[in-house]
Amino acid sequence: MRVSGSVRILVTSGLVLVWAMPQVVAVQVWYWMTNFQNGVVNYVLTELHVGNYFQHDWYATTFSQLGLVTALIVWGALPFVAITIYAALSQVPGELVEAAEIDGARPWRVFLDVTLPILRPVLLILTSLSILWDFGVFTQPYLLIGQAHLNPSNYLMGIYLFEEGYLKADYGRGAAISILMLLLVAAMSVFYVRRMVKIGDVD
Amino acid sequence: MTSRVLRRGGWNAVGIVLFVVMVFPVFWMISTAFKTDDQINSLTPTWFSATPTLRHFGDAIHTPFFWTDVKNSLIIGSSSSRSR
Repeated sequence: MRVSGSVRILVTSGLVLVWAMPQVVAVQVWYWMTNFQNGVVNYVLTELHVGNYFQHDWYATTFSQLGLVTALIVWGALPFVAITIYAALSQVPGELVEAAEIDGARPWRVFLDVTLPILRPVLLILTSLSILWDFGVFTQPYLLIGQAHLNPSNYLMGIYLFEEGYLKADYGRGAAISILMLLLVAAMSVFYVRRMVKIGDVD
Repeated sequence: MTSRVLRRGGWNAVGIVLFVVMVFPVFWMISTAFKTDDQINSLTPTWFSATPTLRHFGDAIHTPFFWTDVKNSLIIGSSSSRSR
């Protein structure tokens, strides 16, 4: 709505391309790009004078490893979130926005009092789905950080579960971790689910 | 009117930067597939290979189990539909 039609089509098709990339493929490409010797990320950051990233090892510290995993997951999740919000935005009735503008509302107030309430159910669903999907994330951290660099200080819940319940075949502990993960996810999404139920009541 | 045009130009620029950053890994996958091994391992990255090669595709397809894998993926893919 704020950008030209051609830019909108460009961005949307780019997002769909990212969406279409299988997780394993995405991890592999990110791994090449962040390789410390000939990774293109180090090259570009150095060329853009962001700093000297020549042979910078992104897998040297836990912080940097988890930062990369976060970037990868956000990159992979963005298309779904962006396209869903875009679809929701196109459902906001133009008359409502126009009426608010005629009543003298500034753009920021129009957003807060007209657009946001209409978007709220979609935002709630997106937030709880993202929590559900990404809390148990396994593929990206396991493959990107890799066997060589994995150690308990950079485990995520999913990797801990895999290590105990699968590699060590400790079924009891595996089951216990699974239930704890489930409880944590439930606790985190209960707020959003309650809000969604409330919105459903009003309608 | 001019400020409106300027603002639209600004948002267009934001959109294009977003596009470039998001699509870069996809581009890098495609571009790497056509490079020679020397270009892939070089310290200075090659953006577009001047001497594109299909050798990697040949290598990938000419493994004895390639078509078995394709078949397996097709069976699993068509019997389940998951968005992620």
